[in-house]
Amino acid sequence: MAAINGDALRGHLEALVLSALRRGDAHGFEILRRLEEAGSGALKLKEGSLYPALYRLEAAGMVKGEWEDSASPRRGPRRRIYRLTQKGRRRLNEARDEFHQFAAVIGGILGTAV
Amino acid sequence: MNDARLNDFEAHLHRAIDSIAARPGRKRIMREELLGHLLESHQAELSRRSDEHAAVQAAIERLGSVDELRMQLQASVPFFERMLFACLNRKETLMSRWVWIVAVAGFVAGLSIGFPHHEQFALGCAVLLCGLALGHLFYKGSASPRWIGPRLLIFVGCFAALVGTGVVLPAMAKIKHDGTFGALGLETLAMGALIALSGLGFIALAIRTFRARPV
Repeated sequence: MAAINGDALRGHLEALVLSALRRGDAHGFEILRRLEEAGSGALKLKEGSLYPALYRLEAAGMVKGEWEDSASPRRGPRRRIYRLTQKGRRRLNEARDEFHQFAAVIGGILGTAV
Repeated sequence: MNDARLNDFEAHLHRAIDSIAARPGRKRIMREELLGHLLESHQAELSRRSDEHAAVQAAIERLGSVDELRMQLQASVPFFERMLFACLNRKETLMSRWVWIVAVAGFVAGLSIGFPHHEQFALGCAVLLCGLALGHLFYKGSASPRWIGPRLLIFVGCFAALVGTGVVLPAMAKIKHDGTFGALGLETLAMGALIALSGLGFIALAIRTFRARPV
């Protein structure tokens, strides 16, 4: 399967992150792991673009980030755990509908049924 | 994970984040979160290969180049915050420091001409000092160059201590002459004392800043 890189993902990254968070709260690295797993290795995401997307989603109130409990036994820097909000859930549903519509229209033009 | 590898990660993040126009708290979050990411990414790379140096390079490469990272992080900062800190984060130069000194001196001189009465002059100085103090406190702890350098703080501190003393002494003389604490005398005395104390506080802050600076 051909790799899907950053350019092709432009405009969809936020929705993908929301979708990954639908499976449960997670920190950045875990979100990335979920996306790679869901993309069966075809998603080639520049990891640095994930965090700006998370910050934009947080500013828009679609996710809520909190530092993990300082009592955590894990060593190293604290991790910021992100949680999907109600607004984020609604946006995810809208994004899904928009993508289906987009895929149907473009698929129709290209001659492939979706 | 040795210190050299950690330094590589921190240096990469420093180059990407330091020049971003954003409030210091936001930059701290970015730095800590991305450092955590790099460490986890490094661990994942190490499980695939045995060469530690290659694992470090792979983790950095996966995160993206400094320019890419900086551009994307900068774009995630809200517009007004970006504009505000783009103005404030300019590196302090000798020239800009003198511009500030002249501006402060001009402002105080203007006050003394416009408001010849002690209490009005003192009030103007107090407002100015509070503004400068808030500006400095806002930047306290930031790794970015400070808007108000410690030398300017010493200048303002000495100036304020002198102005405060200059206000307090005549007020005390007036009280001594009148033999009573008139409302005006007491207010002027309090304001003068506040300015003198602010000045001393500025000097103390400047000394602490000098001591805390890396050589």
